[in-house]
Amino acid sequence: MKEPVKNVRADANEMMKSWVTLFTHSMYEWAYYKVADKATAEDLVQETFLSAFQSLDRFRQESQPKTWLFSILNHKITDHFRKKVKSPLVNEGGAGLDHYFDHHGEWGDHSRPQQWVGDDSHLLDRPEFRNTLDECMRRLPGSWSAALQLKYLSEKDGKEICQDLQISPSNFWQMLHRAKLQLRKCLEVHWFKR
Amino acid sequence: MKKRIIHFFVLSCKKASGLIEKNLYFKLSLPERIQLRWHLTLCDACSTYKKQSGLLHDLLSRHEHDHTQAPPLPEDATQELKEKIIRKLEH
Ligand SMILES: [Zn+2]
Repeated sequence: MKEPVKNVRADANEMMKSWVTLFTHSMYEWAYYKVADKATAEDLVQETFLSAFQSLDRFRQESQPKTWLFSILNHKITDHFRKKVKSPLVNEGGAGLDHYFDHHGEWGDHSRPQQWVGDDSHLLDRPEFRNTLDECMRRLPGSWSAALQLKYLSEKDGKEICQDLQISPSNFWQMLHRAKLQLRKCLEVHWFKR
Repeated sequence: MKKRIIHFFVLSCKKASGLIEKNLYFKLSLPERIQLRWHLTLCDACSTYKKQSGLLHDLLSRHEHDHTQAPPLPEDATQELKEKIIRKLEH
């Protein structure tokens, strides 16, 4: 009876190794692109494979291993962003609301939203637009871009994210409000009004 | 009284744009929804903001998920990492 069990384990081992060989590179590229740090990206990929190995029985044969691994990796990445939003070290910088609104709360002359030309949803087909978007995200204070990425990378709704972060909904959307104002302005200057 | 009514209906743009963002992630209360709707009927700038904020929301949802978009790295950059992970898995 012992022999088949051993074989199952050996098979699982071989399968994991082949996944490591096949997918480490693209997983690392993605993690590095997201977290912009070599050591963190390596840790995230490594932790992903260790978690995957431990929960291999939850992997269904009909799903694609790559899809499954990337969903685990995305969980690890959002965990990383969660820590980053809460880290006091990255909570510096970034323009406050007074930068955009006058003391009556009206749009300031330089920040009043102008119509964008070509603001359609096909923008993502253009690699230059994606680069501009990435560059504008990088210019945000660390905790703001982490909050945005946390929101858009995880499938969770605002309420769940706030529970995870243990912050109030108003703290969360006010942070995203400032982040979006800055991101909007950056895209207006560097893309729509070039 | 009249002033209070105007203040209730006519939000500042600062508050209105905040509610536009809040609405993307949370449910607005009924007074908030009424206030925002009134503000938007009166304010072109915030209507433009709402449209653009919605576009950004849509673009970010798709862009932030798309792992085919990561810039390529040299293939040998991860050779050591692969070996390291395989060693860990064997233990
Ligand atoms: Zn307004």
